[in-house]
Amino acid sequence: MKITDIKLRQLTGTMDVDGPFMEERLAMPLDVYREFREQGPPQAGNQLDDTHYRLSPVFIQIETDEGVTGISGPTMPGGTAFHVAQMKDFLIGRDPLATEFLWDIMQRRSVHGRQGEPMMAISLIDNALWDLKGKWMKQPVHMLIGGPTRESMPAYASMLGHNVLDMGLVRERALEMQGRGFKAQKWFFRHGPMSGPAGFKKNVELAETLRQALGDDDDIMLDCWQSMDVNYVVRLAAAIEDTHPRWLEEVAMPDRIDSYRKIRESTNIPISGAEHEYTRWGFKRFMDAEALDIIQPDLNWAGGLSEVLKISALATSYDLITICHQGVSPPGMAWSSAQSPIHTPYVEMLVKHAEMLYFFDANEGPNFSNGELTVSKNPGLGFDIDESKVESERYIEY
Amino acid sequence: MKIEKVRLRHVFGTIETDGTFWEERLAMPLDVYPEFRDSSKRVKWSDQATPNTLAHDAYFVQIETDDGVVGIGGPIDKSVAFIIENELAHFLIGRDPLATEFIWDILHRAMVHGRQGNTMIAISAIDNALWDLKGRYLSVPVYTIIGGPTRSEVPAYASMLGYDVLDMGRVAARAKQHQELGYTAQKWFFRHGPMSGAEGFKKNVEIVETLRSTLGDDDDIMLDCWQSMDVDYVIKLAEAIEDLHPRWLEECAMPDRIDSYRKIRESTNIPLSGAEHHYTRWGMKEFIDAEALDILQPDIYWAGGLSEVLKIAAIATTADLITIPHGHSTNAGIHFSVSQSPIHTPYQEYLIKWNTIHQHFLKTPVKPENGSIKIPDTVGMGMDLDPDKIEREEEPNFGS
Repeated sequence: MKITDIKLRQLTGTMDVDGPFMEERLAMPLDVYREFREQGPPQAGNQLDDTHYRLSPVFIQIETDEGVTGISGPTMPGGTAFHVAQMKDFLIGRDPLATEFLWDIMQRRSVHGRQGEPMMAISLIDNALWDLKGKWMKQPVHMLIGGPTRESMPAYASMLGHNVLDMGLVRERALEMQGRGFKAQKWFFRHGPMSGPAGFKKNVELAETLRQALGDDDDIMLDCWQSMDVNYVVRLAAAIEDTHPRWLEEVAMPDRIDSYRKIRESTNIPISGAEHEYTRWGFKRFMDAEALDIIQPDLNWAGGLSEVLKISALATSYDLITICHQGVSPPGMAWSSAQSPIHTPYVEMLVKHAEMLYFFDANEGPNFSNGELTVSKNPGLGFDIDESKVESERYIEY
Repeated sequence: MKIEKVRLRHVFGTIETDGTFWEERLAMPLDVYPEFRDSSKRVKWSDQATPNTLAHDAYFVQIETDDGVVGIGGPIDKSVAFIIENELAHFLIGRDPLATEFIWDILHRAMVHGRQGNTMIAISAIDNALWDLKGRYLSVPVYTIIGGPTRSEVPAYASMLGYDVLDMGRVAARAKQHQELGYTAQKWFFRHGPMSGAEGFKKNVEIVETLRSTLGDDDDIMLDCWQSMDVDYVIKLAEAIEDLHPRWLEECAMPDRIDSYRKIRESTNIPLSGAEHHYTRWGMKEFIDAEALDILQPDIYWAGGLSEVLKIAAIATTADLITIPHGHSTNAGIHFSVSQSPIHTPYQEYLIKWNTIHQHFLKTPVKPENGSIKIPDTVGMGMDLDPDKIEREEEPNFGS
């Protein structure tokens, strides 16, 4: 079997929504400047009116001379898609099942691409190859990698895009998610150090509101999205320690590993991070520095399923927890289902992004009930395009 | 003054060559597989259109202001031009082009997946174009803005990438020729990695012996492994060539494997250089903290631009290290070199063949004379393009 083509399929479709889909954003590294601090949430699609949100994601489709195809994504038009297109001629004619070989030659070829968008492109290609491999063998991918380790897995609701400034709304949404069965929720701070004492109080108020709303037992995670600095986080951690968060996430910009270590040494709240890190070599830096308790590689960013399997194996050698960023994605579900429950106790479900991610899925996404996710039993990664949702389609060429 | 337009220029021309331009390549990380090891499968760097010409095209970024002052950065490849056009340009429009610290910071903070690699190369090109612009605006060469000159010229070392490294007669002839041109230091590139076995190893040793016997005792000889070896192989190789006292051994392992560099460095007296494929002060700090290198080689067009490489070099001096940037751009490099202390930047790299290509479209190319690069008197980074060299210019096609 040989690879015959790699296509970038951009699909357009319209989701039904109830009001503005992206209500609010998280704190961002650019917020150190006032003009960026006041900007609204970034959009992953186009809010047409109060009830319609249009999506135009790009899926990677790898085709073979045997007619078997593999799908991965989505991504957006831009750098990652461009780098996928750049790999096309290099991969055509090669055996799609030799995923170790293909990963190695893609990484060895991309001498400036060990991180960032070229590695995200390698990730998408690797995941499409895993989908293809499963479909060719007529098996779900989690079976090919030694799963399942359990029938279903606890999900945590990740609330990016929801209002975090109106505490009445925060409380309402938190209770709604608890009502849907989630026993854990992650919320996102809106303010960094430059928002001063008022922002700091808002951040603390968010953690307090959640703890009061959810009672003592649910896990509450809080995300700083690399927009704070050491002293600020240390002070914030001290202020919210009594609300016993499950973890504090991405507390500093990712290259500043010493900052993570210092924060971790100063607080009893576990520290998570590294969603913006890539490959086993990148993660090893955090592990060697004892900078994190929970590592969060993204299957579509850090090197694909092949690489994240290695990263998580490496993490267990340090006795660390690996909970993938947006683990509810098709490769994330396969990966999570093949991990030991103690090393991967949760699957992240970014609720708004999962809705977009699975909008075009003919199988309507993984089964979710009573706070638990069940991996797809369909061949491959279990994601197939529902053509009835596609309003228009085009192939992107670079 | 405000930035009005970020223009990507795609220019085409013809470079005259004396026979086949790219004679041979270096060892590469892909060479662990036989199908890539063969020279005929080498990465195609240029299109040898006829026996004596290369068909050449390049992208430049041109930043234009409402004052009419422009700044040019480049050359860059299509993937970098694409990132500038699609992801970075919109951040620049309407902003003060002189506020280079601000612009660097917002680009770095905005590109959360772009701290390394192609995106950082794109940020580098913008930063360098802004330095060119700043120099033109102030009507001075860039080195005067950053505290130079520390000297009137900088010794160049001839970097011999692309020359035949398998025929020892030709190696000796070219080495001699460049010594006669005034170079007192030359860098050559190993063709073989561990997978080429005992025969490749002997070839690697032979090139060093040939160079030393040709150049005599005094010239500096540098040797580049281009991240295509592993720890045990480099240690054995270092031992075999130690008596030939190379000035340094370069990029001896893949760049993320910092422990490998440290282990090699601890095992040999030959100084180790590297990190041309590393980015920003945070990336370089990893090598510095691990005591993994003696000489840091950030590229001013890759590691974050002149703004960032000035910071990297300052950090390197706190560890008493040498910084000799990798030589993508001689025009950017000379302004850096003449603003550094001679003991911390004793050489500037001059890639003989790559400079023919990278400076082809420049009106005032910067070339060594008698083995040294003199302070340029052009304003900015001297990045005016030469209309006589541009046979054709096209609107870039970034796909649809």
